[in-house]
Amino acid sequence: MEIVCNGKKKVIEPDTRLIHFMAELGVKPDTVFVECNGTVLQKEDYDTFVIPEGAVLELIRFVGGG
Amino acid sequence: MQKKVLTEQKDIHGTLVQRHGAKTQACIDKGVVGVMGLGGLGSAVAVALTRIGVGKLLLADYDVVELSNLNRQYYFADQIGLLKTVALQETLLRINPHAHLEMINERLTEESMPKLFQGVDVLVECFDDPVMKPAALRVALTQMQGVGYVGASGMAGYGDNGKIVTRKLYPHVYLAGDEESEVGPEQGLMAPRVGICAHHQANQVLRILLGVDEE
Repeated sequence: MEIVCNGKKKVIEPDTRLIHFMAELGVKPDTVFVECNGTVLQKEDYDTFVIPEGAVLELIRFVGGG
Repeated sequence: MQKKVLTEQKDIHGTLVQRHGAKTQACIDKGVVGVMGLGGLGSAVAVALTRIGVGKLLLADYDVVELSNLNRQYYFADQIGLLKTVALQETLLRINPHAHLEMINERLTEESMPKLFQGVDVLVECFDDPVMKPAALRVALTQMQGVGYVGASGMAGYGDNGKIVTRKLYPHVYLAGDEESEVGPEQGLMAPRVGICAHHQANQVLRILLGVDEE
C-alpha cells in the first residue's frame, strides 16, 4: 500500500507498525517527532501504531547538540 | 579602583526605544519568553533577548558551568562550578541590571514544562539531548496550543553557514539548524556555528513577538 512520508510517496506492507517503519529508515524512535494525518503521535504509541493506508506522515529526526 | 556606574531603568529603556523604535520596543517590552536549556544555544539566546529588552525571561537548566563549556557557551572561567542559572543571571544583570529574569534550576520533563512555562509567548528549545528535543515539540503542540515555539537541531562542526536555516513546521512553530550535523567524536560543537543557530532562534523569537513571523 502507498503512503506519503515527508512529501514523498512510499510503498509499505499493509499493517506496518510505525516502530518497524522507523527501523527500516534507520532512525532511533526516541529522537523522532511524528505526525500522522495531522495528529501528533506520542512516543508511547510508536510501538503499537499501525500506519493506515494513504497515511500522510511527517517525520522529523532530531540530532544532538545545543 | 573599580568604577561603578549604575544605569537607571529609564535610561536603558529610553536607549532601546531610540535604537529599535517605539512601536517595536513596546512589543518587545511585553514579551515573555521561556528558554529550555542554557548551553551553547540557550545562553546565547538569553543574552541576545536581554540586550533587546524582552519583558520577561524564564531560563531553565540544572547543570553547572564546566571548563569544557567555554568553547561555545556564554560563561566565563571564573564561573566554573557555578550553577548555569546563577552564572547566567549574573551576566545578564551586567547587561541590564533591571532585566526581569526568572531562573529555573531543575531538570525539565514533559510533565513539568507546561506548568513552568505557562503563559509564555514563545518557548525556545535549546536542549542538547536529541530525545528531549522532539519531546519538547510534542509538549508544545499538544499541551501548550498557541504558544510560539523555536526549536533547534543540527549545528555541530564548521559546515557551511548557509545550511543553517529556520524552517516553519506549523503556524508560529519553527526549527532552526541544518537538521543533520550531529555532535560526535569527530564533530564537536563550536562557538561560531552554534552561535549562528542560536541567533537564528533569537531572531525568530523576536519576529514572533513582533507578529511578523508569518509575513
